[in-house]
Amino acid sequence: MKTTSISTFSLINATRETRVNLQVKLAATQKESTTGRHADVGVTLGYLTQRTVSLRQDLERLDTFKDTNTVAASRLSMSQAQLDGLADAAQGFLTTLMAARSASSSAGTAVTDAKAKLTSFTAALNTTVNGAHLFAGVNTDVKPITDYFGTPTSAGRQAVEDAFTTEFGMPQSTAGVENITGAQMDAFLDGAFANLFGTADWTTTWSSASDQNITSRITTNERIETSANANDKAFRGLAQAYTMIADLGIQNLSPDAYQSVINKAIDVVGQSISDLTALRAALGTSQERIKDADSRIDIQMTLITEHIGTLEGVDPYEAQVRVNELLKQVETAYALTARMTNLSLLKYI
Amino acid sequence: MSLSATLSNASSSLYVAGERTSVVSRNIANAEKAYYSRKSVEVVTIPGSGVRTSGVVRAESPVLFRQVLSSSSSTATYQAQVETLDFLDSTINDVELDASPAALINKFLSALQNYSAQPQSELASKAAVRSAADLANGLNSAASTVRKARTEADSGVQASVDRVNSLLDQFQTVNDYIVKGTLSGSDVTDYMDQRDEILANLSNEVGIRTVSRGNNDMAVYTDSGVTLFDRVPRKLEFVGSGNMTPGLPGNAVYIDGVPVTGANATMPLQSGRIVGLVQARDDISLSYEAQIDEMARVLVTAFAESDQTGGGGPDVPGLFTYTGASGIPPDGVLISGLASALRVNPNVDPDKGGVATRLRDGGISDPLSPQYVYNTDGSASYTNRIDELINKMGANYTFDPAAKLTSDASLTDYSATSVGWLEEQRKVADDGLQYQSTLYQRSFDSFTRITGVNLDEELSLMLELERSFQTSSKLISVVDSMYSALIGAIR
Repeated sequence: MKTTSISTFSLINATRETRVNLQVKLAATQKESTTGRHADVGVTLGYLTQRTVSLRQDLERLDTFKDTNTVAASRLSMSQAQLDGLADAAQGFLTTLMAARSASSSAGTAVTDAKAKLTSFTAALNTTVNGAHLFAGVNTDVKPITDYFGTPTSAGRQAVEDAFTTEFGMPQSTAGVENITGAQMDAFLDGAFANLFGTADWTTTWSSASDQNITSRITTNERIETSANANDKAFRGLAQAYTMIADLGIQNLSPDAYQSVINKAIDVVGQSISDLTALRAALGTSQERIKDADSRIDIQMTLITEHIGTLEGVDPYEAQVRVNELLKQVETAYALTARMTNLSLLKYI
Repeated sequence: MSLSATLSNASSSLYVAGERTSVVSRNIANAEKAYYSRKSVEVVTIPGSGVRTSGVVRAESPVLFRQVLSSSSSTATYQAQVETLDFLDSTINDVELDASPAALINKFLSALQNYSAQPQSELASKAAVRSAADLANGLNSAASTVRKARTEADSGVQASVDRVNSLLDQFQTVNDYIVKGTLSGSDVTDYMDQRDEILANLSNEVGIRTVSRGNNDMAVYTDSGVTLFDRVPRKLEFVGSGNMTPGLPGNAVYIDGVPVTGANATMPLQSGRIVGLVQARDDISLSYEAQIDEMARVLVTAFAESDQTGGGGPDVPGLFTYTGASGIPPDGVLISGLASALRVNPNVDPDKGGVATRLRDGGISDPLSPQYVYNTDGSASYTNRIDELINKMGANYTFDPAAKLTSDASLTDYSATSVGWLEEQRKVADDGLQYQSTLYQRSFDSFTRITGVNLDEELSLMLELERSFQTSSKLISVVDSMYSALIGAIR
């Protein structure tokens, strides 16, 4: 009666199985120690894989937000730079106007200045970035402002001329304009002329921009306006003041009417400067929100990356130790197999 | 006459030693065969006239053998599942590679977000549409991977069924030899080893139970109790489906005209490769296929265009549409095979002559009709529509519970859950496989320990026999010399 037994087949089979098992483990552990992640993330994590897939989705989305926020932020800072320039120019124009008010001999200077400012104003509003017009609202493929002094005569200029003629029965350049009284001029400037720069007329004669600003999604839940458009009150005011001085033929006006134009212009420019400041503040708020969003995104990305690491990662040192351990075991298995093949009763008889 | 008795005793010993040596040599020759069982010769003492052999017996362990059979069936079940699941996993791969439908959906979302930041950019619009096309292709290929996996499993079932049938035929031949041999009293032990090996192979394909009867006859039943062999083999029948139809389970396996797999089976098989393959083909793959189809359906719904003129026209498929689409598919109802028919509307695909900016402006469904145009002013930086689409991708939809996932989730969450679902199936199958294969290895090891041949033992037995043979021969020569002495004395 035998109590224990072992067959030659099972002896050999056992060493074979051990070797195979060790080698399979070795391959996996080796991969883990080089990549620092589980050899087969799916099988190791099971349903938790859903978590790491979600996290990876979030990570990619946040990364995209960072990219797209850069686009919006650069549009905003370009806009700010242009608005800065416009505000400076308006401030300068105000000084010119002050001088012109005290001495009607400076009228020529004021006209020249106004013409130059109107040109640079148009250029500033027509700035493009990456082929998109900065101040066109959502209508970025169309130049927002037509050149006032361009040929053929711009719709804006034509409208001014028509309004003047209708009001006073003659165009700006003809003799007889010196007879216009200050009161008449005031009425014109507050009435027909001001209407030309109202929203309705402005969008048909001067501007092709859209009232709708570009909106950008800066995080999953935040959508903000990230542009200004040429239809804003500040721009209309500036255009109004520049046109007043540049194209109403103020050199030929009676001193009374002249004073009334200059005063009105000072008034409008002053108002426009404060409107510009409000606009810059609004854009600044958007810039601030993007900056906040970006720093929040950075924090989130760091956290998510860490979380993915904890889910998918293995300690590379530990993996290395396991590799060494396994290598030792495989070597032992080889040595044992070799010894066992030598082990035979035959040798001793 | 005791000298002649000595002589006959010694010669009987010589005969027995010869018999036993021949069995030892059989053992040594077959030592490396897995299902060879060690043979030994039963020796009986004949009172007063030496020894004789009464027959060859084999080392047996019916309990362990049964354990080997059942664990090999279970191992095969999990093995088949793991194979199919690994095939399905090629739709996901390592999550780091971002190749899963979930990752593609997310990439498309990112492309949309990029487009919303630069809506005037032609390049961004093309990139977004191309990303949508990648997503559609990704779902197409995921669906075709599932179909391939199912077809593969289906032909696996066919191969298994064929193998079972041929094994049962072999079983009949061997079993007949054994019964006849037992009746005529000849040595059938080698045939019994063969029969064990056939049973072991059989248990790989289908779980079995055996019942031994008189004259070493054996009947084989499936683990669910359906007769596989009783004097004659019962035929397994299966008709392969060729190309699997989406959403429909494959054909069942029949024994004697009775289904043993699938929903209609009254005595369904419990384990074995066939069971694993059928589960992989019908349960796992169908659910995964339904999940992919649901993702495709919700994509069509989320990107639908609605009537912008206030005329109350029906919603129509926009960016994503599918072959044979008529309107928007109903909410929460699975449409099998939709994922393989999903495509990006050619009206928006620049590679097919479409205009990519329609993604921003609307009117993808019918470029000639103003009814579904969102950007009525044609503004270059119009973002409302793109933004609406981004919102819709984050919104919750109703999913068909047939896909075995949550029925209320956003598209991105649903796709991630689907990845988790598949990986969980893999984990479960893999754990099962590891457990069962260890169990199989252990029980097979215990089995061969008891029934296998130990060469050293055989060698020592041979030495023992050699000694006994030498001594008996010596005895004969001694008796011979005694006789010669006796006859010499008489002469």
